[in-house]
Formats: sequence, structure tokens, C-alpha cells
Amino acid sequence: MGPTARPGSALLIVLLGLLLIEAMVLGSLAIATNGASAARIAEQRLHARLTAESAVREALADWTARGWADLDAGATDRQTGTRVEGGFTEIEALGSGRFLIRGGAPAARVDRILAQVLVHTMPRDSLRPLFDAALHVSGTVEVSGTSSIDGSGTDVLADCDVTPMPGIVAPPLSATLDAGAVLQGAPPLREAIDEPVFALAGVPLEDLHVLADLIASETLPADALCPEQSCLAFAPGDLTLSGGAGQGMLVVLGRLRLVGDAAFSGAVLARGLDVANGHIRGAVRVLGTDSTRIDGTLRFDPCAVEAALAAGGLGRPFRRGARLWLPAR
Amino acid sequence: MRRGYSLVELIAGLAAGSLLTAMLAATLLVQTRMAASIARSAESGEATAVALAVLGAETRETVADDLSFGDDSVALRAFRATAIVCDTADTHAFLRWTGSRLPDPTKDSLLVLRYGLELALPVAAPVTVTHDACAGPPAERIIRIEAGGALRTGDVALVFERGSYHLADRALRWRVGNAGRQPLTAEVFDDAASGFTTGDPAALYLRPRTLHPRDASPVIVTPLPSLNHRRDR
Repeated sequence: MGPTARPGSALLIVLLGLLLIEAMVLGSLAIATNGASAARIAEQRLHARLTAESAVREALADWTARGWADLDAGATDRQTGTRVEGGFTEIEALGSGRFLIRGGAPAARVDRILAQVLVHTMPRDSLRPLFDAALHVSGTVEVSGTSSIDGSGTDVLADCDVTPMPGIVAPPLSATLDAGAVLQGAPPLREAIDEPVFALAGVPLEDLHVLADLIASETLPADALCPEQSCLAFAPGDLTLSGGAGQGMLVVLGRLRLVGDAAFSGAVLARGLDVANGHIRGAVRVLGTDSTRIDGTLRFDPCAVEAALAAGGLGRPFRRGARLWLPAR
Repeated sequence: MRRGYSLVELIAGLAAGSLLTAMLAATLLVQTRMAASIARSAESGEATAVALAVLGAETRETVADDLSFGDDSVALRAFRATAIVCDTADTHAFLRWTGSRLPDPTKDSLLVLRYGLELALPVAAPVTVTHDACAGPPAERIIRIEAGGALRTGDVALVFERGSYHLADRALRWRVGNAGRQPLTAEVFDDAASGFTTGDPAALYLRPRTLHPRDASPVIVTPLPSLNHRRDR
């Protein structure tokens, strides 16, 4: 019996070695495949999340055009993204001007909400009661003999429902009219004592700058305020309109002066008012208790007020505080 | 009489066998080391991915008040659910609850978001109920809680639990209250070269440990930016 005919173990050892090597290769391949799969899933998730966030941003950008501010409380509107492929948004009206905007995207074949923001808007219904007269003051008011204040709502510039309003609403015994001054309205003068107004619909006056289309300061011609379409102009301090004609919603945290035959059409909120030579069509609410002086014309015009309340800035969603993006998982 | 092997044949055979054995042993050693290295690498990769995913998700929508960084830890309000107040009755509030789990009064608190105000409330006596005024998507649950009249219909609240993430004892760990730190990853990180940096944005840096110092992996530095910290929010 020769050596070649005897049983050996080399082949077995070699086969075992090959088996071990194959196991290593297969193991490495499995690990690599798992890693690639995990990376692909992570990438899909990231893509879905970014899509959802982009859909929310698109909703914020399209807010006014879509008219979401008019959604009834409790209603939800779902929109697929027009510029964000695969993204969708759900806008839920929570009431009191609050909206929850949720953005989602398909992830793992399921539509998932992946981003959400909570925004506030200024409810127009809460603003209308502020403009209930041609001039509403909380302090004293002096009207010169060449002035005219008319709350009757006649001679409005557009077609809208007109309910006659007082010419002046003021605290008792606080209005002084010089001889020759014209005061009309239903009634011409109504006496009322108001609580000081520091906020609109819960939004402090100081915060309205976040909504403003225009920040005005010191002295400028009125036609610098939204000459072509109604807008929200905000003045953080005193403001003098030195001539020209403007329109929209004007919020002045200081004293508003009209000089040089300046004209303004719309709704005005100011802490103080001094019309030296000017004209306002719409409604004015003076929030401070300082004396108000009028030497010009104020004419109540509900059409002008409505146009002002439809100003772009007032319908814009906004937030206060650091938290806009809310977690959604 | 049988023929035997010569001495030369025997020596040659032994030498060949020894050589083969040495080669197989070397191959086995290399393969074993390679297997250990691959396993460690896979474990490190998975742990790193988990750490980045968890901390990235937890800090993505935070504000500055939600976080507090230490060298090796971050304490935070960890988001667990969104709750929308859909109705109130007496001192109870009904919540449309969307989250990863049901309320746990021992851990959770509500952060009610109102204009310019964040109001913290406990999640007291939560009960899953049905309520006609709270119809919502199927994924939502209706939860009734005792709110003491503090909640209003339409309020939005975030549900948080307080806890902290630690990079300690070679792993990312989660701790709630006074409980122990539970590992979320395998114990693969180099403690001395892993942790957090404060700043804007804060950053997480990780270095997985390797079997041999010569194979030291690079430090992975990942910013933890919050959407609410960015200027383009």
C-alpha cells in the first residue's frame, strides 16, 4: 500500500479553511449590505423631512393667496405641494386666529407628518369694533372752527354696506368744538369711557411691526404709505405725514401729525393725533389719553376701513417667541 | 517485509506539513482578526448612526430653553407627543393626542403654547376616551386629563419628558429623572474623545474605539442645529 493510497487530512483542512474564508466574505457582504440599506433609509427619511419642511414653508409663503386666514375654527385644509414634489400640508384652524400648519411627505410608503409650525394671525373681526366712529378718542379732543368730522358714512368711495356711526366717541365732557366746526353722525357725539387699549386680539401693539408691510418713521409724505394698494404701515414712534395721499392700515405707537394738506384713506390707530392740516377718510382710533387736536376733515368710510383691514400684512401669519417649528414624530 | 520511508522523505514530509500548518494558522489568525475588526467596525458604525439620529432628532426643533449642554451630556425636554385641546368640561380637558406613546403622568408634562406665553402643566389623571367633539385623524387618540380649568379649546400643547443624554462609559445613554442611565448604543465610543461643544450651533463629536491604536478612527463632528435657531426660520 503506497503513500498515495493512505487517508490524509490536508484536503479536509483546506476545505475548512475555504469554508472559513467564505463565511468571512459572506459576513462582510452582509454587513456592507446592511450598512448600505441603513444609509438608504436614512437618506429617504432626511429627504422626506426636508420635503415636509419645504411644504410648510410653501404654505407660509402662499398664505394670503390661499385665503387660509378665513378657515373656520376646527376646519382643516389639505394641500399637496405645488412646488415641492411629494410634499403636502394640512392647515388646521384652531380658533382665535391660531393655525397649525403640518407638513408631510411619503416615508416608507406612508404619508407622515414630519414638520409642524404654530402661527397666529390677526382676526379681522376683532379689529372692526375698534373703528366705530369717524374719530374715537380716550382723552380730550379739540376741534377747530374750520374742521369737519362726519360719521354718517355718506359719500363713500366704493360700494359697501354703510351703517352710520358717531362723528366722535369721547369720554364725557372731553370734546371741545370751536364755533364753525361741523360735526355729523349718528349721533354726532357719543360719550363713552374706554379701557386703555394695549393689544389687538391679544397681540401687543408693539408686536405689530412683525406684520407690517412698511415701517414708517419721523416725517414723510403720505403717498409714501402704500400709494397703490392697501397695506399695513407701522410707526414705532411719532410720525408726521407732510403731504400727499396714502392708504391702508396705519398703526402709530407715538403721536400722528398730519400737515401740508396730507390725506389718508383707511384705518388709523395712534397713541396721539394732531391734524394740523389734513384729511382722513375711514376711521381713527386714538388709544392714548393725550389731547387730540383736529384742524381738517375726518370722514367715516366703512369701505376704506374694510379695504384697510384686508391689507396684506394683517392677514400674514406670524409667531411670537422663539418657538416656531414644533417637533412632529 | 514492508518497505519503509527514508529519513529524507520523512523530513521533507514533516517540513511540508509544518509549512502548511503554519500557513493555515496564519490565515486563521488573520481571518479572526479581520472578523473582529469588521464586527467592531459594524458595531461602531451602527452606534454612531444611532447617536447621530437620536440626538439630531431630539434637538432639531428645540429652543434655547429646552437644552443644557455639558461636556459629556445634554439635558433636555424630550418631545413625546402633540396635544390639541378639542373640548373642555368642568376642570377636564379633552386632548387630541398624537405621539409615540400614550401619556405617562409620572414622566410627562404639557407645555401649552399661547401667544407670547408657554404654560407648563402636569398631565394629570389621563384617561383614553371617546368624545364626539374631538373627531380627528385615525392616528390620534382622545385623552381626557384633569387640567384645573387651565386649558382652552384650541390650545396647542407639546408633551415633554425631562431627561438627559450622556456619552459615558463608552456608550450613548438616556436618563430620566433619578433613574439609571440606560445605554442606547453599544459600548464603542472613546470617552475622552467624545462629547458635546456648546456654541451656535452646538456640536456632537464622537470617536469610536478601535482594537488597535494604529487603527484610530477620526473624530466625527456633527453640528446640532435647531430649526428655531436659524435666521431663515
